[in-house]
Order: sequence, then structure tokens, then C-alpha cells
Amino acid sequence: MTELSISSPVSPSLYPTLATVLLGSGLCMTGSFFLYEVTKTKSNRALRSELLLAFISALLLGFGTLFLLLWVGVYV
Amino acid sequence: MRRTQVLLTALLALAGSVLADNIKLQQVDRKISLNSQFVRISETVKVKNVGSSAVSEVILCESLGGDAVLSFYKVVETSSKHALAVSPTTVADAPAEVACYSVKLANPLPAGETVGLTVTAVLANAQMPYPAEITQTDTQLMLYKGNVYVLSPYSVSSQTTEVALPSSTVKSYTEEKPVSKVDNKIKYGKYDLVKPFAVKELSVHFENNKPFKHVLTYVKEIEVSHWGNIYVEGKYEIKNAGAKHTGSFSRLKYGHMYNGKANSFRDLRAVLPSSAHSMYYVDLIGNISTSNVRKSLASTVLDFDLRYPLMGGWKVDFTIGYSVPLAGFLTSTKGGQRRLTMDLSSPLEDVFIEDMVVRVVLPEGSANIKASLPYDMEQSFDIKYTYLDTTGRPVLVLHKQNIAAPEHAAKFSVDYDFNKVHILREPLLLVGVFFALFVAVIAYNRMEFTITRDEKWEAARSKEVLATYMEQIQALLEDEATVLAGLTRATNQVRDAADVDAAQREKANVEKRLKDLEEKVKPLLLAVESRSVRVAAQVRDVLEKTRSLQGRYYKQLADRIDLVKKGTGMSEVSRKLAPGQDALNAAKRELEGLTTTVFGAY
Repeated sequence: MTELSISSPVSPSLYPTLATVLLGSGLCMTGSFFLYEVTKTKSNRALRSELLLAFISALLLGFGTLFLLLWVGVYV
Repeated sequence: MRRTQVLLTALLALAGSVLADNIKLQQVDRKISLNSQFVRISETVKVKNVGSSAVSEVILCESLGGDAVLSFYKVVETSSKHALAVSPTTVADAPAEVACYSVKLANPLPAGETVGLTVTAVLANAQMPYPAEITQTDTQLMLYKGNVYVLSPYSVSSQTTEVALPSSTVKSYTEEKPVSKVDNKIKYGKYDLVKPFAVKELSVHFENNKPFKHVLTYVKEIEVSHWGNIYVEGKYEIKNAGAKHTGSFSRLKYGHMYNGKANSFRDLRAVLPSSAHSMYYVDLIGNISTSNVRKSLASTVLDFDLRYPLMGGWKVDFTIGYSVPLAGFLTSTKGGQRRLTMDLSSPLEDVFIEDMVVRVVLPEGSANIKASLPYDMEQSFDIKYTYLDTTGRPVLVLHKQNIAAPEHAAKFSVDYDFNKVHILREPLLLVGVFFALFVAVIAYNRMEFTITRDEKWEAARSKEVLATYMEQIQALLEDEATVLAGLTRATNQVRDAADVDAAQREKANVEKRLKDLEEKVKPLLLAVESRSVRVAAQVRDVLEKTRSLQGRYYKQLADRIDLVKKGTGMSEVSRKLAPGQDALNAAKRELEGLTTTVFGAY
């Protein structure tokens, strides 16, 4: 009759680290995305690399924001 | 058909009367405690089966006068302390305002045997303030109306009743001999051979300054987050249900009054789980700071004061909330479901809750929600939208009325299914939003917003196209530089005659690649020429210098091969090739400078 206690998929002690790292790298990727947008001329742009940069930035920023919310105590 | 119906009813009536005859209560000792806002009745009953067959059910009754509410009723077998199943029932010749319960015995009672039962009953609203209104300085007097004899469908051979009062001040009490009053206890008994349902009013008019804390409405919301936290928030509306306050209220007089302060109260205590944290005590105005928290291993005790003392009839509302971690509350069951176990009723001590609603908010994606409750409650479902919700969170709503504080403190559990994938709903929503922003930027960059296409626009467009070609040419020149650097490495690796062949092969390779790059540059150069002759001339200049630099590289390699073939030592070779190398480096730097100047604007 042992009932296992359920806990979060990520240990709450990791929330601050994860939030900082993910948001930091997310902002870097956002920066490189905007650099790409600004420097390349119209014909030289490739939709594939744009979308790839956008996707990676969105992923990092999204998860970073989630862990930031959890870190501050808004348990969503 | 009709004859069988008549026969059945006759049999039932007979059974009813037979039931009353075959059981006798040998001894009933009753203790009525009026020492708080509740009337707590405890009876030890000795039931004797005087019939001929075994009996499995016994009917026990309590008298309820006026507005009294029987909020708790429990029957326990005295010897084994097993709780017995109790169900409300009606008895034919019971007097008015009597609640009867049918108690199912653990083992059928054989003929001639006795069994001991202990009954615990809690009545609320059974004490009437008399007088109904008092001034600030008066003391509170309560009137309790019960029955001198234990109301029972069976005859009682012998019984005693003891009434415990909060103080020894008693204005009047029913004098049914034998009766005696000692200090704050009134003893009635012992009465022999009392008939079933013998009615004789027991009325006690006494001083009771205990606080009558009634919670009019209590809404408890439990919100579970699988990321590691459970929020619990309780909204209360508390009323002093004692004798109503009439006349003026003087704060000065109130501050100087004796310690009892009659029936008013201001302090309350809530007992929270030991892992509770982030507590708050607020109302509509804001935070209320008159509170104190003590933590211990078993519990967290929150002592708090209301905003103002409640005189009789006054009420106040507030909210108390706290958070607990998942450990100890959320577990997984054998069936693969998740189980939430929490306290069902209010954490407040010594209150009577008139209306309680418990809302359990489970995360999005929870399904098959089932609750197992310690007592009957109305169940329904609702939806709540809160942080990062798309479809809303399912809410299980439980509703019950008339709950007495200490007796109803019990735990309940809610079982539900939760697929682990659903926990990703929230982060993926965030990712989606950010991605939509980036896609909007990409789309914007591909849109053309000029209204008129005049010369200025044409000039800008052609500059853009030129820049495209220049970028591509620059990329090709960078590739060429990389190839030449490879050639330098190959040159430096020629140390003796054996390496010469490898070097020659490398040179042929480099020549071929450079030729390919030159081919690629040609159409671009033509395109640039068609746009701007001046820029094309600049590019041609750069290409010329590049070719001459390539010549230097080849010459350097050839010189080194010659020297090595002659068999000169390494240091000699380096010394001889040094001026050539310096010239090559100088030319390279000059070319880089020129490239930056020409291509830098694009």
C-alpha cells in the first residue's frame, strides 16, 4: 500500500538556474535573429534559416518565461 | 392486490410495535455540556434485548427544540469502540421536534443479552439568548430547552442526566425531583421506569459568555499545480450569533471592561498543515496585520484578531490563504490515478459553519474526477480560467451546510487521471506566442509598403540589388582567401624531396578551385557592370590584385620546392624565402584593405 508521492517533473531547486540560463540564451538567439533580419539583403535571405532561428529563440524564451514564473512563486 | 397491500401495512405496523416492545434500555447516563456555543450530548446506553429473537437495529432519538440543528451524530459500541452505521428514520408515535436514528449493530444482539452504546451528538443553535438583546455592559444569558428524560421509543429502566454549565450562575432550571445543583453542574436523576417518549421539558436559564462564533459563508478554494505547489484560500464571513447588541458602543468602556468582555470576541485561531507557507490574511481594505504564526512539527498555528471586536449580531469578512508543497498531499494510486488528500473543513477552531463550499481546482487536462468524502456533500462541476489557461481548469464543487468545528475536521481525497503530456500545455502556449511574434517580424520584412514607386524608390531598389551581388562576390573572395591559406600550409610542409609530389598535387587542387571561383565571379561581375560601371571598375581592380597575389603564392611554393630539391637545410630555406614571404604578406594586407574599402559600403 505504498503510495508514491508525486512531485514536479523538474526539481523546484532548479527553477532559478533554468530560468536564468534559458532566458539568457533565448535573448542571445533573439539578438542573432534580429541581426540576421537587419543585415541580409532581401534576395539573400533564406526562409528556412529565419524560421529556424525564430523557432529556437521562441522555444528558449517560452520555457525561460515559464521557469521565471515558477521561480517567482506564480505556480501556473 | 389490494388485500396484499393491506396485509403488508398491517404487518409493518405490527413490526413497528413489536420493535418497541422487545428492547429495553436498562441504563442511560446522559451528560449535556452547555460549556460552549454548542450543546454536546454524550449518552452511555445499555440496551437489553427482552424479546425472543435477535435484534440487529436499535432506534435512538434526540430532541431538537426550536432552531436547533443536529450537526453531528455518532454512535460507538462502548466495548469495542467501533463506529456503527447510523441512518435517519422516523418513528410513528414520536413527539414533535425529535430526530430519530436507526443504528445498525455490529453483531445481532441475541435474546436476553445487553450491549453498551455510546452516543455523541452536537447541537448547534440550541441555546437561545434570553434576553435576545443586551447592552454593552450586560452579561449574556442563554436558555436551553431539552427534555428531562431521555426520549426513546423504548422504556428506560433507569436514567441519570447531568447538565454541565460554563459558570455557576443559573437564573432558573426545571425542578423535577430528584435534582441537585452543585457548583456549575445540575444533576437530574435517577429516574426509574420511564415510559417511551415521556415528554417533560428541561429548561435551563444560565449565564454563558462563551463566544458564539458562526461562520455564515465559507468558500474554500484549493488550486493544485503540478509544478510543485497547492494554493489554499478560504473566504469567511463571521458573525457573533449571541445575544444581539443594542444601545451604544463605547470603545473606552470596552477597553476598560473586565477580562470576560461578555459575549464579544475578536480572536480566532486557525490550525494549518505544518508545511504551510506564504500565508496571508486580508480583506477588501487590504492586509490585516493583527496576526501571529507559530510553527511546530505537527501543525502551523495562526492566531489572528479580527479588524474589530464583534458584539452580538455584528459580522465581518476576511480571507485567509496559504500554500503547501505537493509532498504529503498529492500521491499516485495503484490504478495510475493521482490522489489529492486535504482537510475538508475549515481550519478555524470552535466555529459553527452555516454554509460551506469547497472548490477543488485541478490542472488543465485532468479527467475522471472522483471524490471520496467522510460525510455526504452535494457535488457539482465548474470551470476556472486562470494563468496560462486555454480550455479552463475543471473545478469540483462540494457544498454542505451546518458544520460544527471540531467534530467535522476530517480529510477527503479526490482521484483524477492526468496524462503527463498535459503539463506541457503551459510552456508550449508561451513558445507559441513568442514564435508568432517572430513570424510577424519575418512577414513584415517581406512586405512592401511604398504607395508610389518613384525615382527615389527605384534608386533604393537598384542599390539593394547591387548590394546583393557585391555580397555574393565578397563571399566568393573570402572562399578564395581560405583556399590560399590552405596552400600556405601545404607550402610550409615541404621539408624534403619526398614531400614535393604532395605539394604539386596540392597546387593543382588549389588551381582548380580558384578557377571554379573565378567562373562564379564572372556573371556577378557582369551584373554589377550593368548596374554601375564605376563599381565594376573597382571590383575588377580588386580581382586583378587577387590574381597577382595568387601568383606570389605560386612563386613562393616553386622557390621552396627548388631549394628543397637542392638539399638546403631548413633554416637556410626559411632565410632565403623570408623576403618573398614578407612581400607576400604585405600584398595580402593591402588587398584586404582594398576589399574592405570597396565592399564595405554594401
